[in-house]
Amino acid sequence: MDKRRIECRGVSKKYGDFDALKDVDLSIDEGDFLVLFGPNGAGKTTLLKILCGMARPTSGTAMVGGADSHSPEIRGKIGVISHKSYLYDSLTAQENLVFYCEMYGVANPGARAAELLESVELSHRKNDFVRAFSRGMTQRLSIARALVADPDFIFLDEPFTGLDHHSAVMFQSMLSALHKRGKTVMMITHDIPLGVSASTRAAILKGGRKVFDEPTKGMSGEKFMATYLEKAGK
Amino acid sequence: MNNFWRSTRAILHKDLRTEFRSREFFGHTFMFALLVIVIFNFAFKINAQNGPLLASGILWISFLFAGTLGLGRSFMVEKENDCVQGLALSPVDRSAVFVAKFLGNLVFLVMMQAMILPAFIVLYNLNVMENFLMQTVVFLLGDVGFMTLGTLIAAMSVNLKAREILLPVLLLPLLTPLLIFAAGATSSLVAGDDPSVYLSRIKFLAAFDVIFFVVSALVFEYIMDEL
Repeated sequence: MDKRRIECRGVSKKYGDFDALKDVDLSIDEGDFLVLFGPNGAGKTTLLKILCGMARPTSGTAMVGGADSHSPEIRGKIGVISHKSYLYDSLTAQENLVFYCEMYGVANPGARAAELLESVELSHRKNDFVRAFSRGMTQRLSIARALVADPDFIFLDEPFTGLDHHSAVMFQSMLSALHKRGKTVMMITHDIPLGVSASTRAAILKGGRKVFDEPTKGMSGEKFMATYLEKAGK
Repeated sequence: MNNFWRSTRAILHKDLRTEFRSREFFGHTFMFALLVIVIFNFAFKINAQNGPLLASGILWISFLFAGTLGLGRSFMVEKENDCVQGLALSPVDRSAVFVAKFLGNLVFLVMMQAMILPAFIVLYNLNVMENFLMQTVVFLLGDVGFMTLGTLIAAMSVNLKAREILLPVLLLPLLTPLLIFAAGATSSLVAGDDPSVYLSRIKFLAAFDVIFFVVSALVFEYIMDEL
């Protein structure tokens, strides 16, 4: 299997009697930017968690880069950005990044943290505690955290939640730059125009099943909205 | 340094740094342990005859109650901003997270004990550290067993709504054998019993520690999946 590909086959996930995912097949090629839509409870976050190695499927296989998504080697090649920051409020921006650099075995954590802080324009706040940061600044630092090991695969779970316009635009341009650098990206969002414009492919989940999966090239936000309403309902 | 120890050191360093900034765990557990020994001092009439037996039990109860109070916090800090997912995503053996959390809790417990013991000796007029070396071994073995199970149960209960109640309810019954043998060993040392008496208790504590540490480190990976 291609070492740069994300693939799941027949993935199902049960929480007690509830079927969060039912027999989902999905593959994302190297350099693709897949955006995943669906109503609340459709199983989007569950699928993302399985692909990141944060949860195990009840049945089926989830492979990232040619290996089980649970293996530590693959986790080192994955960066996750969520609406939760995974940052410690009682540590400074620099300390948070150095901590994650050490966890990912990055050589020279101090220098890498400084480089990342520079890239997200937070060098001037490096010694400030994260609890003092605005939502936009926290999310920028969260991007830096996800990139400590320069991952090949980037997963985003509603990353625009709570961002003001300026931060959202900045975040979008960073995301676009990462995609242009050849990163394989999978993003969950409810923002259809934004998701369609940023992605190369879109998929829709409904009730734990994949009901749509096609390239977005040449597709407008309005056209996709009509498809979404037809497939996922209002 | 290999991946396991590098990540263990990083988590431990992070936990110690955040605790020394907030002093929440240490401050609260120390005050609670101090209150327990003061209240027991008023509640019981300790004399030369019952001193070794009663005081050793009181001392270990104060360690267990105060230590349990602090344990809940070790994983609560990881729930803040869902940091536990950040740990779960890191390319490290998940037992490294367990070992780091265990070591952090152990350091705080030993520090709390080092502060409580002088107060206990003065209040109860009983030098529990007369046989310093052996008593230190008993304390360390008891602490290792306590923090091994405590770290595991704290991780299991962190997502429960009534975790403050459930943590001691789940943990204390499991610690009963450890309490019996640790308090027994301390009591034997204070009373100046024959070495065979306290050595058999020390052996039990060592066996308890080894068994539960290995089991806890192995099952922790599955607990991380549910955090």
